[in-house]
Amino acid sequence: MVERNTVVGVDFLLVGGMVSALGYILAQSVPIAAFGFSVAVIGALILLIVPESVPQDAYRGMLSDAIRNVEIILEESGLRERAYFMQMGDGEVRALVPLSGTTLTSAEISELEKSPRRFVVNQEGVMGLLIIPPGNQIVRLAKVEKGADLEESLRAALVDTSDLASSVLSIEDGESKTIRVQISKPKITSESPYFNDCLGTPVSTIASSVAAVTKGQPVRIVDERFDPALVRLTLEVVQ
Amino acid sequence: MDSRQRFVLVFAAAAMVPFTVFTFLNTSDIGIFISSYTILYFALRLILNPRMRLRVDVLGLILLALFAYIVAERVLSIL
Repeated sequence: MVERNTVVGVDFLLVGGMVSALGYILAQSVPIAAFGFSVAVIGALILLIVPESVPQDAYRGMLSDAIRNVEIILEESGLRERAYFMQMGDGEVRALVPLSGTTLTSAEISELEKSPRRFVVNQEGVMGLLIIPPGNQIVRLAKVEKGADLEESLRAALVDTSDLASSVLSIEDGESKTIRVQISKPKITSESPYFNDCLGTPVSTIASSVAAVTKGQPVRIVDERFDPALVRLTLEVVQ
Repeated sequence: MDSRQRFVLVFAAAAMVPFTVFTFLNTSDIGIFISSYTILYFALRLILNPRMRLRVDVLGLILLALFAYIVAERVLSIL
């Protein structure tokens, strides 16, 4: 079914276009033509701008609650290790928070695909919690794909789609093992210490999820420096 | 009020200003109206940053093409 506003947009566009054309050609009146043109532009705007079904503040509130839930789970479990972000076979992003501080390899993490997906993971020595990072859906909405340009994908997810930051820069080293990301003016922060230790601040969680998808390999936060105006993030692509 | 309503309302209200001023000044050149709408559109796009359906800004490109044509015509008429 066609959205009501789409019909209104088409109406404005057509009526505006006709008024503009008739005003300019028949009536030879510039103000009428200009008025019609502005109505047509408004119609085009109604058609082209994506409406928000839920206000941004409501989204931020729900994201904040989701972060608090993850915080409670991590606090109860006593986990503070950095998580591994990875894309699963079905395209979803998951974050593995390991139980111990041992460094995992890409092959060990990919073993998780073979077992039934559970919250508590114990697969051939890999133990931890497998959680859905807040930002998994944002990655999907931003249409981030494997092999895509990282900086463009980060911008699509953090700036264009979610509007959670004003700009993003990323630098990859020659062998693409380390990625440095700068996120300007993050609009959401987290006061949850366990969440921040494991998954990073909310914008870093989303950036890590994006990096995991574009690189097609597990990604881990190595270093994060948070400032209200700038987040400096160093990611390691797990080999 | 969502971002679409806000953008459309602000654009409509702001577009009234050049429309009223140029109409009272008996402007006979539609290029001036189109140029002012184009500038207004890009300024509001930058400030309000609404999410568009398409990755390519179709409306911006059309307005920019019209603006470029108007400016080029003026420059050629001066030369």
